[in-house]
Amino acid sequence: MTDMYVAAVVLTVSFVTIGLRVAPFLLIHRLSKSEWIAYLSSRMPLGIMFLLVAYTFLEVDFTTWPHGLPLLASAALLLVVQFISGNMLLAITAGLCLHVYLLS
Amino acid sequence: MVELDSNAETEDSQWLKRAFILSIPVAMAYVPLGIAFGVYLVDGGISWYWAPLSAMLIFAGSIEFLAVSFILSGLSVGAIAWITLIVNFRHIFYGLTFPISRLRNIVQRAYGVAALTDETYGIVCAGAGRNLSGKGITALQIISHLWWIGGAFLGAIVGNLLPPDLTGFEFALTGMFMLLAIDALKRTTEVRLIVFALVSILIGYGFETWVAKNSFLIIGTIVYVLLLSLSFYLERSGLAVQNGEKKHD
Repeated sequence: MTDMYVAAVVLTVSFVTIGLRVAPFLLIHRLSKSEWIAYLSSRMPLGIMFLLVAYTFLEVDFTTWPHGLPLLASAALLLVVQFISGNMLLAITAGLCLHVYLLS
Repeated sequence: MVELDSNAETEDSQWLKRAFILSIPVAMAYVPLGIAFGVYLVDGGISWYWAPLSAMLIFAGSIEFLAVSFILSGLSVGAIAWITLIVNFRHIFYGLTFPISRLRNIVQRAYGVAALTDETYGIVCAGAGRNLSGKGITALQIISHLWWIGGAFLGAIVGNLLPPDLTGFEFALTGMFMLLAIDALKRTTEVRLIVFALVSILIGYGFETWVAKNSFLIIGTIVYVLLLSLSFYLERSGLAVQNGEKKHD
């Protein structure tokens, strides 16, 4: 990957993100009136996060050894730690360590 | 009122100290996340300097990790723009309640809006920083930004020091999204959102497998937005029908 491509991606993401943050100041009347936009924005995170979790599972080959087991085991560990401790940082660290250990 | 004013006054004189103290919980999240981001970026084969650079230019969490993943899969810039729009869509509402009038000059205001992250928004609009002065808000944003850039920089260094056969750091991405998904699940009572999400995943997967590689997120997010819009439309027309019936009664 070239620096040009990386720069193009970083600038695109930066531009759109800042655009979203600036938008309400430009469109304050239309935005605060639109029930559709309000409906979408409050219900978007759940679906987006589910899609993003699934996205990170896409590249895993479940048909050949190790059948995605390192990822599934690490994800399971994360869930267990999260539900026992309620500490997000601890949960992600535990999952990450197990995943790196199993893959290396 | 007088008491409130004098409080604001004393707090204002300590704006830098207050901003720093308020940034500590932010640092607890940003620094480890930044390190994970830097390690993940270097592990993927991207030049180390992009870690602090992109942390500076893109001051947002999950999309930053995703950008690395997009770069590694060679996604087109147009597709990346769309996914960024959808993933960060919630930001479109932050500005409505952000106390921009407290920020004095144009530079402060421009930065205040550009650097309006989930965390800044939470602290300044709903948290312990509700009565921060303009200077305090800007300081909080700059300090948080520095925590994030510093974490990414540190991660890039750590990533370069780690033996090259040590891999698996992409789990940072899975783990972060899983925790955010759990958080979103706790906040909703609408089961149909889960159904919409699963349908979007299935259709996106179908496209990815049989139509076009790398189309999963684009198709999935389009389907999810369409399903939400349909549900919004049906709910509203349902309400209109109910209201109509009431009128007839």
